[in-house]
Amino acid sequence: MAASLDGTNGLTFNDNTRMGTANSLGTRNILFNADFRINQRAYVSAATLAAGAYGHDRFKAGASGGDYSFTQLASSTQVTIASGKSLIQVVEDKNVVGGSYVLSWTGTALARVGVNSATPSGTFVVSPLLITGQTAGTTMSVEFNAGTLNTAQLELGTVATPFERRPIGLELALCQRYYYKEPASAYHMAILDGSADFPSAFVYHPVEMRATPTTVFESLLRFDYNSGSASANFTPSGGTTAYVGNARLGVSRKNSISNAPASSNAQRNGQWDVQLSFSTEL
Amino acid sequence: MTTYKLTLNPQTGEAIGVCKDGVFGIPFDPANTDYQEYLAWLAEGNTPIPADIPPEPTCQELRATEYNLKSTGEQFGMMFDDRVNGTTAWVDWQDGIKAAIPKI
Repeated sequence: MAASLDGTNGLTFNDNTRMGTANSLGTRNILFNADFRINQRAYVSAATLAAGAYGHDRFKAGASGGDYSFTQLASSTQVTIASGKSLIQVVEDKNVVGGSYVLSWTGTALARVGVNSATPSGTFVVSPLLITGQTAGTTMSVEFNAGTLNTAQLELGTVATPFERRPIGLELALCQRYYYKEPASAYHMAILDGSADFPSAFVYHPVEMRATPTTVFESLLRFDYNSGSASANFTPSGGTTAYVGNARLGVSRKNSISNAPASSNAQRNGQWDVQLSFSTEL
Repeated sequence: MTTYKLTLNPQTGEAIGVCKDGVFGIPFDPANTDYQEYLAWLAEGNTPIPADIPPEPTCQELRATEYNLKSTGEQFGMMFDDRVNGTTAWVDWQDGIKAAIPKI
């Protein structure tokens, strides 16, 4: 028999995988990077991961920290969460339609959930975990404790379906809505404004971010500009960072640099070798 | 201890965000969770560090901005034309800038 259809399990294929509802069609998994292929922050295996800090994309440490070890593969990568630690992923409210969900995963880690914007609580249990009473438009959170973990999936309905394998480009774009880091030594169109104390780098985000992001200057290198008669440059240092922009197009600014060139008040165009990262994590 | 420093748009003076611990540039966006943490920090009775204020441009800087609107070659051309034609266009232009931006 190639497949069977009944009122309890829905559609069952000859390899015993099942589709419980029509929701099983299309993009099912509302967890992102759930097979740990994307590690933009370059989290190092077994490094200390403080409470709330992020390791692989979309996964942050639980209240007691989230140290974990792994050997990064190009394909699905299993991680091992250290004893007493946990990893959490918060699902954006706009991806939650409400009702019943089922969480499944591979590995020895146990899980618990937080529904309706609450943080995860209660007893950790084995896969699969049925979730009811989720209100549409509120965040959901899943938390995994010590043990091995891979291919986690959170999907609408009551039947766990096979892990959804998404193309790496799509998975990266999904993650970049919440965080991305530019390549080192990225040149930006930039200006020096006012008294030349406030260089600004223009940025066009690769995808629309969830909100106006928090900006970090990961590295500060040379700012090249035309001084009127010849090219000139300086390297900003000191000061503090600030940011103004929006979810799609940002203008990042490093305020009050300590070694701006003496100059006129004219605004100057140039290019700025600077590496930025942007975060709208939950 | 966590510190927050206000940041301004140097051209408008408008507060545009805060900088946490000298590293994280946080915008005033209610959907940004770092901004939500900042609001909670404020609610505890804390006060942010005032923003850096850009220095006012000097008279020399303001005049230089105007002078730079004409290239050196263009100004030599004006002086040559004045010499040939008996006019004072270049001097008048310089006087105009000095009158518009007096020394403080």
